Amino acid sequence: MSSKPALADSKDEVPKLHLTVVEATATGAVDKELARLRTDLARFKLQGFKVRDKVIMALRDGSAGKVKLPNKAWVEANVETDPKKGDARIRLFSDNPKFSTVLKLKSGGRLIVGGPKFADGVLVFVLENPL
Amino acid sequence: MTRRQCCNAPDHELVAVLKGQGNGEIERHLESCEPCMLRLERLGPVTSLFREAVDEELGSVEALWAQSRIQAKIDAPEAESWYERLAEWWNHQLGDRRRLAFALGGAMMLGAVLAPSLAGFFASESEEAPGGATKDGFQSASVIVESVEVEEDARTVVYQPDDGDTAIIWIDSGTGSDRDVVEAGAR
Repeated sequence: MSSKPALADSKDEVPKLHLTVVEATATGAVDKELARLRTDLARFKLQGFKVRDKVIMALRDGSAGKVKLPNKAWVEANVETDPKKGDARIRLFSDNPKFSTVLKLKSGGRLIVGGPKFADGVLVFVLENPL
Repeated sequence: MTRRQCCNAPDHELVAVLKGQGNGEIERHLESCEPCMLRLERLGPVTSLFREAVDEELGSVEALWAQSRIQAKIDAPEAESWYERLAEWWNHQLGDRRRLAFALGGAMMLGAVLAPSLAGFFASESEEAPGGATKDGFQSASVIVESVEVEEDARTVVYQPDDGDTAIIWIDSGTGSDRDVVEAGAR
C-alpha cells in the first residue's frame, strides 16, 4: 500500500495534515509506520493494525483530502479555518457509516476514529497534525 | 611626705581624704600641717556642693538605651516553654531587620492577592486570541473535539484527555459487541 499525497503543498513550510486509514484486526501485528501510535491503539482491544491508505494535505483554509475505503465507502477531511489565524478547524466525515465530526487540531494533535466494520476487523481513521 | 610635697598634692587626693578614702600618709601629714588643713577646709563645702549637684542631675538623666536593653535582658525571666524560646530566638534574629522583614512579608501578601487576579486577566486575554484556549477545560489539549454526528442507529464514545495529544472516537454501529472493542474508561 503506497501513500498518495493529495492536494499536497510543494512548499515545505506549509504544515501538513495526515489522514491514514488503518485496518484493525483481533490478531496480527502493528505496522512499523504506526509504531508511534502503539499507546493510543492499545486502547482498542485489537492486536493487528495495518495501514490501508494514506493522504497528506496542506493544512490551510479550504484544503481537502479524500480517501476511498476498502469497503467502497470514503472518508474526507476538510480544513475550515486558516491555521494562520489560530488552530485548524477540521471537519472529518464519511459516508458509510454516516459520520461527521468537527475538531480543532493544534500542532502535534491527533484524532483516532474507529468503528466501521470491514472484513474480520474494523477500520480506523487517524488524523494527525504532525509537529 | 615633706611639707612641699603635701602642699603640691592635687585636689582629688585631698577630696579622697574628705571621703574617707585618703592615703594614710597624707592623713598623718594633714594633722601637723596647718596650710593643708586650711586648704582641706576650703575644699570640703565645695566638694559637697558639687556632689549634691551631680546627684541631682544624675537622677534626671535616663539610662542609656543599650544599657537599659542589657538590663532588661538580665532582669527578664528565662524562657521556659519551647514557644517562648522560639519567640525569643526569632526576635533576636530579626533585630534591626524587623522592618525589612515586615516589608518582605507585606510584599509577599500583596503578591498572593494580586497573582490570581493577574492570572485571570491574562487568561481572559488569551481566550480572545483566534483559536486560542477556551474555558471548557481543554486549554492544553492539542486536539479538541467540538462535535460528533453519527447515523441514527449508531452511537459514539469519545475519549478526550484534558491535556493530551490524542482524542479517540469510537463509532458503535449498534451490533452489540462493538462497544467491547474499545477500552473501558473512554468517555
